[in-house]
Order: sequence, then structure tokens, then C-alpha cells
Amino acid sequence: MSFQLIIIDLKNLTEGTEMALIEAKNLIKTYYEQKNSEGTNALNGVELSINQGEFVGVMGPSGSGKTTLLHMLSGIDAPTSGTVTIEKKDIFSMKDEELALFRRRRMGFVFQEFNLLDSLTLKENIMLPLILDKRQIDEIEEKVSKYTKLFEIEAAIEKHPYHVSGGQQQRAAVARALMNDPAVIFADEPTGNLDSKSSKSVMSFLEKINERDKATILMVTHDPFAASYCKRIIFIRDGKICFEQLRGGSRSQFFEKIIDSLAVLEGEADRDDI
Amino acid sequence: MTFKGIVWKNFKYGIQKYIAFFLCSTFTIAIFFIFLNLTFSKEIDDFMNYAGMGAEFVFPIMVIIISIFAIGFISYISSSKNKSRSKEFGLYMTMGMSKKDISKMIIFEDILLGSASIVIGIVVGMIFSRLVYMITVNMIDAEGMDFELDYRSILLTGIVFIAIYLFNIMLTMASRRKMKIKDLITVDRKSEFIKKSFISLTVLGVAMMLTLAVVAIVATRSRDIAMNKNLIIAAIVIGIAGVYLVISNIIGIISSITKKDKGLYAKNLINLSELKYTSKKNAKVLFILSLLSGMILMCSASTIALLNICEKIVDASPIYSISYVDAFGVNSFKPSLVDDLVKDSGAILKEHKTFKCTFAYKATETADKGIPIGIIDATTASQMGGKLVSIQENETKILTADPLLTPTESQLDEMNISYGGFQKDLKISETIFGLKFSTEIVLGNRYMLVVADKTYADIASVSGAYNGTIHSINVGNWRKTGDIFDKLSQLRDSSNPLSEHFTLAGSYIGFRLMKRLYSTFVFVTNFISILFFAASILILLFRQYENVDKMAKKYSQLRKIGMTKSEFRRFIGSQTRFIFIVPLIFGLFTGACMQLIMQSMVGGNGFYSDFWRVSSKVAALYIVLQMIFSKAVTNAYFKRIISVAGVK
Repeated sequence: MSFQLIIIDLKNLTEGTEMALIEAKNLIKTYYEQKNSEGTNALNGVELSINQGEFVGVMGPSGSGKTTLLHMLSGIDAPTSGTVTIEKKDIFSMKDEELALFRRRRMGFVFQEFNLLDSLTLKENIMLPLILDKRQIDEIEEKVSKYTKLFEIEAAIEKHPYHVSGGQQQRAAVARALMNDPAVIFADEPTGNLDSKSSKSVMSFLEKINERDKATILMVTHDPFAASYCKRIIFIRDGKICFEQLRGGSRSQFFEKIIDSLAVLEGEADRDDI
Repeated sequence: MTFKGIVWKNFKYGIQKYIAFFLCSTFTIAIFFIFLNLTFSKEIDDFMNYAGMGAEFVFPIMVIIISIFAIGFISYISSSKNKSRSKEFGLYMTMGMSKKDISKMIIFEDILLGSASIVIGIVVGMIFSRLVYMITVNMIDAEGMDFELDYRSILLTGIVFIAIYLFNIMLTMASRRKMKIKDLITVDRKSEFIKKSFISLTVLGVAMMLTLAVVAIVATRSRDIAMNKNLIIAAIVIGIAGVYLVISNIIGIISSITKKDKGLYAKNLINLSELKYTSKKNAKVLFILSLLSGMILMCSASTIALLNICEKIVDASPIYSISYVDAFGVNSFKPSLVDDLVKDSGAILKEHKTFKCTFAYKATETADKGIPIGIIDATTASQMGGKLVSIQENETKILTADPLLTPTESQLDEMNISYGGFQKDLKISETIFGLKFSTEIVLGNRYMLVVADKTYADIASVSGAYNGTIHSINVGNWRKTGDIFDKLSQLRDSSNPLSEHFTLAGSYIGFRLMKRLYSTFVFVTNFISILFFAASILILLFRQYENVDKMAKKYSQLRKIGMTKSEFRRFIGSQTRFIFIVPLIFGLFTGACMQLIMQSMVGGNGFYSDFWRVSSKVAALYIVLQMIFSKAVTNAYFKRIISVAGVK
């Protein structure tokens, strides 16, 4: 079945005609168990380019380096070598505080564990990025109102995270990620802690903001259903990008293709093990 | 594996958690013990009374406050310990452990930790008590005294803390009974803030605090009120309860006031939400720290102030510069000798008065064992005090210097005295006070009798050997009289058994005695302050220790959404400052109220401005120290959070 996949040469990944929003060059991340021990490469020279308005999924087996890649691209963790530029700015040449401010203003995050502060209500959690940025309260209120309506969580916004469902928490987290009009949204297994109904709802919202607001999204997932909402999937194994797949046709067709690709990816992994 | 095996294994696994609990408990018990042992010490008690401090009054108030602190602190650390394990208990229950099993496990742990803390706390307390006692006794020149551990300190410490631990175990049991598995698993995520009618409770709390303030202010107007033990203890307890009510609602009030301005609320959102999230714990910590701050300020500021105003008290005192009783062969100096010594010293002799006096024994006492009681007639008493004293024949008035030194004889209806083989029943009509007389009555009995001129003549005529003369000398500068007292002391017949009762007195001696007594008091109270300060540090460190994991998680969460390191540092700084400043404000309030009462008790009302000038400086120093400490704590806490979070 592998011949049916649209497999693109790695070289072509960086050769888009549109202007690249995120560019990663020769990303290597090595972890050392002990000081003088031989390291393990979690990322092994990743080259990647993501354009404005793309909805990109990153898939791969456990331990393939998906989350490490997301952490490198978003500046949460630094690579051992290589560069990442977002909007042509080299994020690892920035000072710590500068990077934090850049992250606050130009990036949005959605995590598997929602990452909402228990001490704040959903509304306060959503407001937080703009509060940190010292924006005017009227502007903050207006945006909160817009996103809570869009994500249908108006009834729950005065509640604390532990009083609402996982789906509502994740929608609040997506709303928070959008508050600063970020250049890119990084989503790390956003449906990992959700039931199928909530997963569907959260993914529909992500798809909506991608299509309607042209939001750029990079999502790490192991869930083929969630991945089927993306426009492009990058498959990664052993810290390297193996191939990628573009969405063509309906979402259900894309879903089938993703399943097949995963089977190929895991099959190759099994073969390597033998 | 048996149930006991699981419990034991679990105990060993969580040993670090228990060490924090154990150390805090032990330290609290040691402080309590040291204090009790001081309270029960006869020597300290005597010297406090001698200094006019009313040990039977000051110490019980302090013991009550320390007990409130101990109950609050032990309950706080115990609930923190159990709450931090709620998830673990929930997990046990999902595996089939019953609530009863969990209760048994907690009881086992608490009994083990509680008894170890009590034993070690008392042992540590004993060691430090001995040290404090030795230094204190050395300072008051109490020779020939041995350190004794009062069995009552051991017994009472044991009883009080066993009661506190049992009370805590009961509270824990009650709360565990209500807990469901779901609650146990999620309890550490839930906000402790409860929306309640905090306005009415706060108003009640403020009213209770004002009650203490009013009593304290009224006490400065009337020493009788300051000396009313029940009233003062009740006012202090009400005031402290008021502080708790206000503190436990303060976060709700700040939050509701701030919420009225949306912009202001948004600006302070993270800080306020964090305070609300841990409001119950915060209330306990703030209350305990307020108590400690109040005690530190009261103990240090008031005693240092007293020490500093000694000279002014003597200056303002109407007592004679030099005064002595020439009787029974004691103090038989040539009057010209004393005058010459004054002239040589440069103190400038102003007057040298002599007053006749006689002596008698209580009819129940003999000359071998008893101490002679000084007697003066009404005319002499009027001349000495500058105020007319009238008295009926065969009646007597007890003359004493200070209400705090009121002799037990004041409560008698009559006194039977013996003199030269005769006896006389004197009806006691009144007890009169006057600082003017204090040097004249520095005798073993601490009082004199004033009788009618006729009665005096009857007594004095029987035995001339019992008669004497009171010498009262006033000089221009009492500060230069130190050498005179030294020389006169050398010339005295110290072999006479009565010489220890008929001492030389005067401004300089009073000043020296006061300075020595207050120095000792300053030492004792400041030692206690240091212990309290150490206790407050321990509480803060304990709070940070138990919060560090949660804060590390918060740091990691906030960093991911773009909070900078310096913004997080400011957040930690604000949280720490809140924990420092609020107790400081309430501590200043309670400390000031207690100082007003103390000032009145020791007769310092006439030196109001001097007293408060010095204590304000001490309070200012304490505030500066707290601020420095707050900064250091913030830095250490921040570094610890960063290291636990493992996020750059």
C-alpha cells in the first residue's frame, strides 16, 4: 500500500513557494544520562518548514521525538545544535526574557494536560496571556467574550478547571492560545485526555480557526482521527522525518491514508528491530 | 504483607515528609517547655515581683499566648501533612482499603510522631532551660542557687501537647469520615476559598480588636485596670480572636474590593487568585505569624524601652538621693561623715534630714527569727511624705511604696506587735502608698507602720534599744553618688544579722538595681523573642517546603504561556511579602496593645513619650529585619522552585 502514499523527498520539505513562517535547520537534540556517557539523539538533524496558515500534524511511534520536536520549535527547550526561525527570527539567539515575551506574543499553546491554572476560573485562565501583556481590560473582555462564544463555553467560564469537563478545559485552553493573535499555535496531543466526543469538538474548533482565521497550527498527535483534521502530516521516527502526507479529498479518506502510513511506519520500525 | 507492614513501609518511604513535621513539632514543644520552666522558677518569680513586673501575671498571659500559638501551629502542620497525602489515601481506597484502615494508619503515624516530638521536645527544652537559667541567675547575682527542673513543666508540657495531638487526631478523623474517594483524589487541586459573609465576620473581628485597644488605652489611664488580671487576659484573648477573624477574611475582602475595579483586578489576578486558592492555609500561617510578631515586639520593645528609661524614672522619682536607717547598731555613721563624702564627690549637698523611728516585732515572731518592723508616728509620716497623715490611737496604717509590693498584712484587720516585753493590738485602718517612701522602707518587710503620735510615744519609751533614726539626704546630682554608697558599704557592720535588711538606699542604688533587673528581664524576654523569631522562620520554611512542588508546576505552566522569569520572581516576591507584611501589621497592633498594658503595669505611664520613642526604634529595627529576611526568603524560594521545576 505504501506506493499509494504521497511521499515527498525530504529535500522538498524546505522548498515551499510560499514564505516559511517556521524554519528548522539541522535540529539535533542529544540527551545524556550521565555527564560523560554517550548521548542518545532524540532529534537527528531535522529540517522542516511550515508556511503561514498551514495545519500541520506530527505523527510517529512513542519515543520517535514528536514532543521533543515541538519543544524545540516553540523554544520550550533548546536543541543541542541547529536553528529555528519563526517569522525570520532565530528564537535561540534571543535572550531568555526576550524569548519568553516572543512566546507570549507570537505563540499559542495547547497541551494534553490542558495546562490551566487551578487557582483561576476558566475566564481568568483565558484572560491570562493578555493580562501578562498588560493590555487594556476592555480589549481583554472583548476577546474573552468572542472566544468563549466561538468555543461554546460561556456557561462554564466562571468555574474553576476541576469543576468542568476535559472537553471544556481543552476548549478554554485553545481560547487562551488564541488570545494574543499568535503567529502559530503549538498543540501537544490536544485530544490525548479527551473522550471521542470532546476530541471531535476540540478538533473541529481547531479546524475552524485554521480555515476561518488562517491560523497556523502545528499539532503533535498519535491519534489518526485528530490528525485527519490536518492539511499535512509529517511522520517522524528515530528523531528523523521519514515522509509526509498531504490531505487530498475528504477527511475520512485522509484518515484511511494516515492509518496506512502509520502501518508502513510501524512496519518499517518492526523490520528494523528484526 | 500485613496491614501493619504496609503502614510501616509507607512510614519509612515518606520519612522526609515526616521529618519536617517532627522538627517543627519538637521545636514548638521545646519553646513551650522552656517558657513553662521559667514560669515555675521561684528565683525568677521573686525577682520579677521585686522588679515590680508581676511574674504571676505576665508569665501566665505569655503562656496562654504561646499555647494558642502551639495549637495553631501543630494543627497547621498536621493538616498540611495529611492533606499532602490525600491523593495517596484516595488511591489506597480505590484498592479496597477502608476509611477505618486509613484512620488507623493516620493514628499510628500521629501517635508515633507525636510521642517522639514530645519526648525530644522536652529533652531539648531541658538543655536550653538550663542554659537560660544559668545565664539569668548569673545576671541577677543570685548566688547559691541550683538549677532545678520543675516536674510541673514536664507534666504540663506533656499534658498540653498530648491534648493538642489528640484534638488534631479527632479533627482528622472527623474530616476523613466525610471524604469520598473523588474528593481525596482532587482535594489538592481545589481552591480553599469559600465565599461567605466575610464582611460581618470582619466587622466582628475589628470590633474585638478594638475592644483590646480600648482596654489597653484605658489601662494607661488607670493602673488598677492594668492590674486587673481577669480583665486583661479576657481582653487579650478577645483581641487575638478578633485578629484571627479579620485575618481569615482578609483575602476575601481584598478580593471583593479589587474586583470592583476590573483593571486593578486583572493587574493583580495571579497574586489574588493564588492567595484565594490557599486562603485557609494562609489564614492559619498569617495568624500564627501575627501572634509571634506581637509577642516579639512586646517582649523586646517594651523591655528595651524600660531599660532605656531607667535613668529618667529615677530622675522623676521623688525618692531621696541617699537614705538609710541607723538602728540596732547598723548604719551608725557620723552624720558629718556622710555630708563630707557628699561634698567630696561633687554631688552638692542640698539637705540632710533626720526622722525618728522605732521598731517592734510581730507578736508571733521572736527577735532571733523575725525581722523588726519599722514604726513612725503620724507627724513624721506627714513630714516625710509632705502630705498630712492623720490616725487614731491604737490604730495603724501600713505604709508601702508600690501597689505591686502590697504586703499580705494589708489584708489583716489588726496586727499584734511585741516590743520590750509588751504587746499591743493595732487595728489596721488603711494601706497607704507613696514612692517618696520607697527608700525608707527597703527593709526586709517591705513596709512600715504609721501610728498615732501618742501610740508611738508609748512604744518608743519602752526600749530605747529599739529606737532608730531615718536619714534622708538630697543632693544636686545623684549620678555622682555611686562612690559614696561604695564607701558607706565598706564602713557598715556587715556582721550584724540585721544589716541585710537595713540597706543603704537612694536614687543611685535604685537606678543600679533597676538597671540590673531590667537587664535580666531584657535578656529573658529577648531570648524568648529569638525563639519566636526562629519559630516564625521555621513556619515560613515549612510553608515553602510544602508548596514548592505546586509552585514548580505553576512556574512550568506559566512559562509555557509566556511569563518571563522576572515576572515570576515578582509574583513570588509579592506572595512572600504578603505573608510577611500582614502579620507585621497585626503583630504591631497586638504588640502595641500589650505594651500599653505592660507600660501601665510597671508604672511607666509618666514616661509615655520616652517609652514609645525607644520601643518604636525597636519595632522599626524589627520591620527592617523582617524585610531583609523576606528578600532572602524570596530569593531562596525562587531558586528552589526553578530547580524543582527543571524549566529554564
